[in-house]
Amino acid sequence: MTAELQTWIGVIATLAIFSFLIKENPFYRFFEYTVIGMSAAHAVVMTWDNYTKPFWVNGVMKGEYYLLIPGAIAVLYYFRYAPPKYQWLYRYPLALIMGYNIGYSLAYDPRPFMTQIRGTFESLKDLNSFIYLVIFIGVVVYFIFTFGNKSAAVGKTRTFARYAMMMYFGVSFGNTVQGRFSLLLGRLLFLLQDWLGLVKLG
Amino acid sequence: MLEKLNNLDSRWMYLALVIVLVIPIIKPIGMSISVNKDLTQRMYDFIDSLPPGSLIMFDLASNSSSDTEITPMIYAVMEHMYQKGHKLLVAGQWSSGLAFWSPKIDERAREYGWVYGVDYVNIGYKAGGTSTWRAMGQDFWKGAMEVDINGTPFSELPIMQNIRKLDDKTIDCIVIFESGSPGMETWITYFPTIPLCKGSVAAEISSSVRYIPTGQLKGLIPGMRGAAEYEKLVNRPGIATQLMDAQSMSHLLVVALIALGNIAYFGTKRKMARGR
Repeated sequence: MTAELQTWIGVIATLAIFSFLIKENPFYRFFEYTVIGMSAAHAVVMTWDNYTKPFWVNGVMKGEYYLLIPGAIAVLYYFRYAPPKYQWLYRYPLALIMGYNIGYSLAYDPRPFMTQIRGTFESLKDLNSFIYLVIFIGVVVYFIFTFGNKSAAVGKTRTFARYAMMMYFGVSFGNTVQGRFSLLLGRLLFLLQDWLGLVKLG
Repeated sequence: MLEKLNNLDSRWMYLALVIVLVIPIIKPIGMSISVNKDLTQRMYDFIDSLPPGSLIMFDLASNSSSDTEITPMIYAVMEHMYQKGHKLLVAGQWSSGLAFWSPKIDERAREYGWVYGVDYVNIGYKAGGTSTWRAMGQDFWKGAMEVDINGTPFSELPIMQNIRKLDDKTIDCIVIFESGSPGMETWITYFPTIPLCKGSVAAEISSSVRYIPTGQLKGLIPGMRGAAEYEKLVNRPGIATQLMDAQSMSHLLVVALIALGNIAYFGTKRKMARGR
């Protein structure tokens, strides 16, 4: 068993969080709030290191004074907390960023989707691609004819599409469960290897 | 009996899960691992096909919560790059991912004898999202503010002398290790000409595989299982291989619990119908 203080803190925190599985308790609560507090503190430090410091040190202080213009616009965000009379000012950076992102999205976002749609029809070289196409058409029918269609063909297609989607959600859920087990494995390995020293992997 | 099973306290299942996971960690069974030809093998083949000295960029779009899945993938791909003599550019769309994995990458690079600034470089987190990446597409140095993760100017790093644009002429492949957004959409949307491979957490697999047939993804490492497959391909079994027994046993437990749950549910229903 290790004597490292850092590992012991990790172990106590891990066991505290897992204790929730038995039942809600103060030990769990304490560490839950600790995580929230630490996450907030970490976010502040990361924001300073990744945004504020590079802006001044690598930009403005190296003579790129034009950066002060977007910097000043960004400061307007804080007018959200100003007296109501001045709050409208925060809408300017918001409008700028929204416009920029919408323009960007409209210009570039359709491309990968078009590649996907083209690929659906283009690569019909095996059974899998054929199944993919059939499900694709089924799901499109499902969402187009959501309301008020009494056709039997559409009804059957929609039922087929529903089953296909349920299968996809099942696969997705299964993969998520697999991922969660991996996370649990990581924690168990920490307890068995780093704390108890029962195994030596890696 | 059936009612008892139907109302089984979930804590017994948690206990069973822990037992099923712990035993194979302490005493591995050594179950064989087959390689997925459509996902992991494709990625391996693609990276293998690049000429020695190619520049591969890592995008760390994940954080420490995916350590168990992502770390073995990073190590396995680095091993492959070492075997092939590729060079590495480390970047990241998630600042927390860079903070977490950079020391691990440095440690592994030291093991390979890679010289920082010559064989590999870490440019650190660059704020600004897609607009920053786009700026790097025009002028890498300017877009990345001309300094690496330690604040060293690019002008002092030999490897950076050839990295002037983020495009397919400079970067031979991007390998993204992703567990959420922003992620590979950045690359397939704004840089579709740069070949892209992905190391994905298990939860993201089903939403990623559709990019393989269209060529938007050259290959995919699916979760910890994929990491174990890649370790097998590069012939260096690591932590993913060693944990696969536990992972497999946990899946068997889940299948058994699903079967038991269904038997209990339908059995109870039938019994109630008979009772009426």
